[in-house]
Amino acid sequence: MTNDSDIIRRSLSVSSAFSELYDRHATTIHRFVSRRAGSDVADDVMSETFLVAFERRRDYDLDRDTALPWLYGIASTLLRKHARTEARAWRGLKADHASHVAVDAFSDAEGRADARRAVDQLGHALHKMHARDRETLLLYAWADLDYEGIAQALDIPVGTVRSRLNRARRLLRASTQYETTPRLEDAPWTN
Amino acid sequence: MDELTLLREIREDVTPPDRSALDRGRAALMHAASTEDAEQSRRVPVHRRLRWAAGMSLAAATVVTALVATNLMGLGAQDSAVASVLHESAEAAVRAADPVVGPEQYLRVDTTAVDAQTTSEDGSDVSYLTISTDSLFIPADRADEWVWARGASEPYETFGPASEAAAAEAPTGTAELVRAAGGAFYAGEPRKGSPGAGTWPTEPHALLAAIRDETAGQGVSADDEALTYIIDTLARDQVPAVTRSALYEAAALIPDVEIHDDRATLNGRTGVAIGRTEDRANTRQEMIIDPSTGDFIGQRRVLLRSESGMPAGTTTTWTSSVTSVAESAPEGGTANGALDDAGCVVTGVSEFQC
Repeated sequence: MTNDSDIIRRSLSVSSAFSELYDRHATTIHRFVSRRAGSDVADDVMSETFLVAFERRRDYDLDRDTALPWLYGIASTLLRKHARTEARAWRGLKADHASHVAVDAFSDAEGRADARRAVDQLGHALHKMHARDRETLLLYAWADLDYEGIAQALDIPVGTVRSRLNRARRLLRASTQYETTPRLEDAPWTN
Repeated sequence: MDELTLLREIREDVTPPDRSALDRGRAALMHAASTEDAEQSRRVPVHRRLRWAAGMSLAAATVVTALVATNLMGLGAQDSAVASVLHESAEAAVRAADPVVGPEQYLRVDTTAVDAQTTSEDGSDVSYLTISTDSLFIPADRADEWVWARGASEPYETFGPASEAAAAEAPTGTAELVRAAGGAFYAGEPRKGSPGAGTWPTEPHALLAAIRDETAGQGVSADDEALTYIIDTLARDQVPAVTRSALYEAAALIPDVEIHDDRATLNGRTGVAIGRTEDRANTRQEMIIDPSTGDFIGQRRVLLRSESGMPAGTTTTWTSSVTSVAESAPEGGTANGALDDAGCVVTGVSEFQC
């Protein structure tokens, strides 16, 4: 099967060949952006991501078979322009996402209430988090990149990826306390 | 559930991009690609080392502006059945062999055409349809003499007594045999095929963008005009199979293009009628194609509401052509056919004094 670097190599002489990369990954990039900043922003960022990638394709390291980390990195950079929209999305996490989580992970009514609170706290934590840490965390959790992939995407050393992820997870854990704090009957939910 | 699992859980419920967003993104990319190709052909490439964030914003903004300016936004909102039929036809067309015209041979195009004739009587319009057939013989070397055997037009369909009377009173059509180098019949310009056809991109989005550029500002709507251009090109010019294929794919990207009849018969041949309804033009225009071979069977225009004495639903015009290779062309004929017979004198390009 043709890999991404073959397509990019071919696009250096036949520029329209780059559309194959779009056909492969546009939806994936859209979903990632849509999760972070909503579908309206996602339409634009998806399109811009590939325009930037096309412009920069001569800089692509052709030894890398999959271009997804590179594309995620571009999308992440573009998303910085939409920080406000993204912040609104975190604040809106509770309403938009809690019902889904409740179905999957919390079966009873009490559990659903817990889920709403947990997702609410999660949104709050993401909102408070430093942008660079959040970007790293979401590439890990939502784009399924490994440390090496994130390092490629953001053009940072793997050690930096590790320290950012540790910091981000610490903050998340502290906010949700879901893993570490046993829930007491009738106890108010606390940070 | 730990915090990462919870975070992963909430990512699942986003909707995928809709088709039009994907098409727009792709069109923007193809526009960038074709722009780069055009620029590279004009200048020596310079390796640019821009700070990419700054360079990107400018590039993206430029492309988006260009797309809006050429009215490209909002591509491809048609249903998947149309896309599928056009894609199938495109694939068949690209596999089809173009007729090979050897030295001394001709590409023969036999066309049947129906047109509406409208006259005004007592302040109201009266119309009837006429039919004509012709055979065009195009030499292997297109600069050589072309021959055009044009049959007389005859009444084809009438709409009530006034229409019948008008058809009966119409002057009898005249058959003509016309012959001219380069197809420059009637003191016209030599026929070259579609302007730009040789340089058109074959990628469908880029091709549609080029067609929209070419037709910008014309017709009642940009979409109607783009489809008209595609159908006219398919009907009029003997486009190579690869161009025909690309034109089908481009047509599939025009919003509101639909299948109107999956067993449409035109001049004895059956195919799928695909087209677009344009209320402001009071017409539904269609191309009839054979998806199994990629053949373009013909085109027609149907009235949405009654007009000029013809009821709603009337097919006011259709053409259908068959292409073959001929060993010879009819003898005789002159450059201006019936005009020469009438003793007319050429006074300019396509101008005569009789």
